Formats: sequence, structure tokens, C-alpha cells
Amino acid sequence: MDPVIALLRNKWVLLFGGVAYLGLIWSMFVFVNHDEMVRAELLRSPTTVSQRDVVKMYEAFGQHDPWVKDDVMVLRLTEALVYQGRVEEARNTSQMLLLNNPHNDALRFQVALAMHNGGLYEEAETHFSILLKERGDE
Amino acid sequence: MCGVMAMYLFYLGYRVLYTLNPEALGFSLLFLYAETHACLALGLYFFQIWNPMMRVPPPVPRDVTVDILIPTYNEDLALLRKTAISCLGMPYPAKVFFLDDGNRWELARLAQELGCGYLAREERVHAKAGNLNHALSLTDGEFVAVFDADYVPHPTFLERTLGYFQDPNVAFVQTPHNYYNVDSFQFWINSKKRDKWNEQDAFYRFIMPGRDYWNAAFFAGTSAVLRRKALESIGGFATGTITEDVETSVRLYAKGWKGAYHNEVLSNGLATTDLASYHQQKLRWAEGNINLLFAENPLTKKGLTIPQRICFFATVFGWFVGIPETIYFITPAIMLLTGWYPIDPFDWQFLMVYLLYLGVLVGGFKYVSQGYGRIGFNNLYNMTNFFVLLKAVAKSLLKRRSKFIVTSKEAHNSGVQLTTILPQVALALLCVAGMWWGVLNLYYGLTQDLFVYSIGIFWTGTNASLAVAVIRKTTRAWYDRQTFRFIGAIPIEITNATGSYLVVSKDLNESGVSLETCETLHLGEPLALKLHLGPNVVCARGEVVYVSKEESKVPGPQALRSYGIRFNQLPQIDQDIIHQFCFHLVFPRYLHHFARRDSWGQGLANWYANRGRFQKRALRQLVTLPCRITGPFSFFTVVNDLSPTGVAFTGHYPFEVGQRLHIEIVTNQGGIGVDIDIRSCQRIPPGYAYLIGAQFVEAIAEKSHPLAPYMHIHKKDVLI
Repeated sequence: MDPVIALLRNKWVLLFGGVAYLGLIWSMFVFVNHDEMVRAELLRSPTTVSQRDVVKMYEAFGQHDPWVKDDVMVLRLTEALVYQGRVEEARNTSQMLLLNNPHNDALRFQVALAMHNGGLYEEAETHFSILLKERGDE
Repeated sequence: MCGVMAMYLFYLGYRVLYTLNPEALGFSLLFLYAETHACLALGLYFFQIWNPMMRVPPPVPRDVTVDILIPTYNEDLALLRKTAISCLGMPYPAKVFFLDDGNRWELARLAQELGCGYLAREERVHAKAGNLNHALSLTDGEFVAVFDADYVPHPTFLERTLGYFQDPNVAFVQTPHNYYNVDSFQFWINSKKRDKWNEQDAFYRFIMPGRDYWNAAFFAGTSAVLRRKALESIGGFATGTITEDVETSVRLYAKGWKGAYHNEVLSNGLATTDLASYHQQKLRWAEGNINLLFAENPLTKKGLTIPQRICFFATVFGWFVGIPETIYFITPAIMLLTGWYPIDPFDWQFLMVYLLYLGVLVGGFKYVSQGYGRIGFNNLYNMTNFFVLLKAVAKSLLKRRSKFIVTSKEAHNSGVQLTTILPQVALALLCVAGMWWGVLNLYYGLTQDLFVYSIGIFWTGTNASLAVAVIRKTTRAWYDRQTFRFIGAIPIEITNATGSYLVVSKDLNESGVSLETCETLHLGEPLALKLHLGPNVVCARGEVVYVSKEESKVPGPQALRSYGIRFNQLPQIDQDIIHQFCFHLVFPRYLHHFARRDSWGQGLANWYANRGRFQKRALRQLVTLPCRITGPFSFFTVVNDLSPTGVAFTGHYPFEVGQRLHIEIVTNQGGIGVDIDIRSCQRIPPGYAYLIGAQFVEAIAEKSHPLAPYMHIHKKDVLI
């Protein structure tokens, strides 16, 4: 029998080769889809995204990547920035978000909540006030 | 058939109107092409099998001359000897010729020894077709029968085929190709379920009879008889092609001749034993048939009828199957890897349409195919060949002509090389990558299409499992023996230093036998053997070369063990007797084990119609015991099954129902003699052996009877 074929039919070679192959595919998957994976994680759980990835996302935000148009994504980025204590950056993203959606109360409420949960009570208060004022006007 | 086609067209219409994906239009159209190709192929298949013919051979004429031609180039002399002896053994008078393109003096000597003609050429021009044409110029028989070097005909071959030539317009009679080396990877055999599949069966036992209805069956290169006058009218066998058979047939039909297809296995040949030779053969057939489009285009060739044009176009089109199959195999993996959807939207509405279409397609295909339509096996066949067929299409379209290469049928112990199965390995890796990629996409939440991805993963897994099945099957090291052993039970008397015993074989050929016995034999032990081969008895000397480690339990104190025996210097005449017996009795009996049976519906109806008989009959146990029948003919044979009321055995003579005989069944506790009445005598095609059912004159009622313990044994692996 051809030695390569004999190797192919060996169950241990198949087992370890299979695990190594799946590992290789997984590595390629991570390499190709890293940004998407970060965005998916950001949507799922903003507090678990690593600092490095949040910074990269913020930089991409600055370069106006296509996902910047996704308000939910920017909101989650804001939450992640707040959670990691990056107040200035969070302020920038929230401002941009609210600038694009000046009359979206739900979004403003979410931003306010994110600020409050991150301990930025003054920022949160500002947004809550605006919301209450608008409600009062109505 | 019309219903299935209507459903298929509805499905394709739905696909075109609602499910083309504009975001991946090229990919989506490619997949639609594959489906359309399959639809056309199915339509052509249905046309061919519209009304399969089962011809009854007319009486054979007694005043015609026949030349049997055996073209050869480099085949083994032992193989040629078997073919020639079987040709010479035909009762119908015929001259046998070796057509040797290898110019071998050994073959000339063999021809002289056997009394055959020997025709050789200086130059090997036009390969097999040139060889046959050369022989036509030197012989004068009104008819020529053609057998490849490895094809061994039954004695009745000419008697069953020559009658068709009473119609003066019949140019040739073709019979099915069949393989006897069932250990080849081309066979999928399940002995317990009595199920045997080979890719050729559907074509030669079902499609060819269907084409015969349209007068479009074709000469398939071997196992056929042709009218010399017809061949002369087209200038002999077609040359300048690597598939001279199909092209010759097209030319004959275009000249207004008729063909006939006799659907009975009358010869057996060798299947290729390794994947490389098999692929080489497939490549040659595919290239040759596709080139028919350029050489004798059946769509434009003058003289052909419309059904003939359709049937021969189907022959050519069939070899393009590699293209859609490759698309089917790689599409789901590519979908999972790239996110391109070939079908969009793939929603519940589409799934309902698809399931309806699939149900009608599968059910209809199986119903009209009369047991020959095996979708799973067809997929395995396509998985084995898709790359070779793609290669053939590319070579043909690029007009890169191949040479005629004689297909090797010898056993290769070195096994398959990685390069031969590389396409399947690559496809398996692609599918695994696709599945894993899809799972990762779902796990990391990169897609929300759980439904589509689940279907994609399932479909990719199916393709991967097909690829793995082909790799496993073709890389298995089976072919240790140079010559095939025929599986079958025959009675053998063995004599060693301790005494003589009557035992039963498991398989045999002219070089050795394997047998089962409760007696203890040792490696290297010399034995004297007496093989009871129907009316002949062959005495041989041999030695034990193999002792099985496993034991089977049988009644009595000893266990049953298998032994391998190699014959020592068996005279040539005895070898010839064994090989004749194997081809004409052992192998047909083996095939009969897999004979097509009733479907479950027919079986139920049969049971209901004969329920009284079924209730009375005692449960039969499969046992294999040697026995001796005494009556008008006395002979040794083997018991196939046993019950308290009767016994079944294989005979070599027909018995009349009601005839009384004496049977002595040999067990490991001695011989037991009982009287029996014959109840049935079933002929095993082609008619050299009979399955005989008999009833004991006195039923075995007591548990103390020496045969009683055998009636409670299940020997699942024993073939009758």
C-alpha cells in the first residue's frame, strides 16, 4: 500500500490530522472575520470586548467605516467605551449618534442609561434632563 | 414518467422566477444550470427506458458459419486460455481465433495446443478496431462473435444469439456485460440482504433493453455477434476512434441495419481491480463517446431515425454528467465559505416546493427504474468519477485525442496511489472546511440564517460522507490474490494422515480452495483432495497455507474452522475442468443468490395468494452440509437449507416433482440417511444447475434426531 494511503487510513493520524485541520480552519476564520466577530461580540455583550478591539473599533469609527451608520453598533461601542472608562471617546461617539438622530428619544435614553451605568452621572443627567424637558414640552 | 418531468419543469420554473439570487447571480445561475442539465438527463433516461424489451430468442439456424474473434494485446495467457476453452466448449460449431497485436510466440503456441487460429499483425494500426478488421480480411464466417480477452462465454452463447439473424436486417446481437470478480471495488455487496450493486447492471440489464425498443441498442465491444455482410457494408469496424463499438453501431444504423439486444448474461468478464485502471477505462469511454459528437454526430447523421438520434445523443450527453455533479458537490461548501446563496430566498415556501419536487422525483425515479434506480449508489458512482469525467469533457472539447489503451484487469497488490483519489480527498477537505466554517459562523453570531446554514451544513456533510465512502472503499487492501476465487460450496473429500472426511468449500479456483471443517488441520500439512464438481471428480494434492483464528460453533463437541488449501502442480486439464465448473455452475449459483426478488408490495400479494402454503411450511435454517444423493443419478452435493419437514440442495440434473430419492447428509457426527420426495426443481440461469426442494418422507419430529440440532443454527454468512 502507498505509504500516504496507509497514513490516511490510520485512525490516530486521522484524529490528530483532523483536529489540526479544524484548528487551521478556525485560525483562518478568525483571521478573515476578526472585525465582524468583534462587531458581533459588541452587539451581544459590549462589556466583554477587549480593550484593544474597542480602541480599534473607535479608530474605525473615526475613519467612518460603513458600520458607523448602524446606530445600534455605535450605541454598543459607546457602552463599551464607557465601561472601559474612555469618557472622551464615549462622549464623541454619543454626540455623533445623537447628532445623526436628534429626535430619537429611545436612543438618547439608551445613551443616558449607558452613561449612568458607567458612573458618568453628570453626562447621564444632561441627557435625562433633555428627555424630561422634551416630555414636559409635550 | 410524464408526471415526474412535469414536476421537474414546474420546479425549474419556480427557481427561475422566484429564487435566483441577484447578489450572487453567477453562482446562482451556475447552480440552476446543474439542475437544468439533470432535468434534461432525466428526460433522456426516461425516453430510453420507455418500454424495455425482453426478447425470446428465435430458434437457432443450423447451417451458418461463425468465427469467434478474441482480440488481444498484452493480456495474460492464462486468461486467454480460459476464454478460448470456453469458446471451444460451445456445442455450436465455430472457429476460434486469437487476434494477437502483441505478436507473442507463446500465444501462437497456445493457439496451436488448443486448436485455435492465430492471426497477428506487423503493425498495431487502429488498435482493437484495426485488429478486428485485419481478422475480417483473413476469415470467412458469415457471422463473427467478438470476445475481449477476459470475457468467458457460456456454452449456449451462440445458440441463444444466432436465432436473431433469421431477420436478414439484423446486423448484430449484443448481450449484457457482467463481471465475475465480485471482490472488485466496483461492487457493493451485502450478502445478508442479498443485495448486489454494480454500475453496469442498470445499463446492461435495463437501459439497453429499453434502447432496443427504439432499435438503438449498440454493439458494446464484446459479448456480441455481428453479421459479416453488415460490417462489410460500412467498411468494417470504425477506426480512428477509441470507442470503435458505438461508432460502428451508429454507422450500421445509418445504413438501415437493425440491432438486437438479448438480455441474458451469457458471458462474464473481469472488472478492473484498482481505481487507476478503472479511471483510465472511464476516461477512454467518456472521451470516445463525447468525440462521437464530432465524428458521427447522431443529431445530424443521415439515415438515423429520430428515436435513434435521441438515444445516441443520450449516450453522449450521459458522459457530461461530471459537470453538474461537480457543481452539486462543491456548491454547499462554497455557500458556507463565502456566504453566496445559490437559492435566495431559501424560505419555508421554497422548502415546501423543494420537498414536493424531491418526493415526486425520488419516488417516480425508483418506480420507473424497476429496482435498477439506486440513487445512493448512483451518487457514489458520480463521486468516484466526477473528476475523470470533467477531464474527459475538457480533453474532448480541446480536441486532445487520447490513444487506445488496453485496460489492465490484473490485481495490483500495491493498491491505490494518493494521486488517483486526490479529487475526492480535496473535496472531502473542502466539505469539512465548509461545514466547520458554517458552524463557526453560527457560533460567533456572524449569520442569523440558522435555517439556511443548517441545510447547507447537512448537504455538505452528505457530500463529505460520499467522498469518504469512496476513499475508504478504494483504498482498502483486498486484492491479495492474483486470480479471483469463486465463492461457492462444493463437496470435497480430504484425506490426511488421520483419515478421510467429506467437507464443504467456501471458495475455489484452479489454484486453491478454502474450506470449513471441524477436523484439525495444520499449516503446511499435505492433503489429498477429491473435488466433486458436478459430473466430474478432480483429484488433487495440496497443502494447508492458511488456518483461520476464528471458530464457528456447530452441534457437537468440535468447532468449525476455515482453512486455505493451495493445490500442488494440478494438471492443466484438471485446472480447465475447475475453471469451467466455476464459470458455468459456481458463479451462476452465486449470482442467483442476488437474483432480483419481488418488491415488498408484490411479496405481500404473493404471500396472501399462497398463505395456506406458507403456514404449512416449517421454518428453514440456512446450513451448508455435504450430502450424497442416491437415485437415477448418484452424486455428491451440498445442502443449502434444512427444516424438520424438508431439505433444499443444488443439483446438476433436473429432477421431476414427486420423484423419490435417498439423501445421506454428512454431519460432524457421521452420515444420516433419509428418503425424500422432490417438491420443486428451479433452474438457475443459464441452466447448468438446479435448486431442488425436497420433503422428508418422514418428518423429523424428535429432538433426539441427529439432524435436529442443525435446524436451530443460523449461519448468516453462508451463501447458498
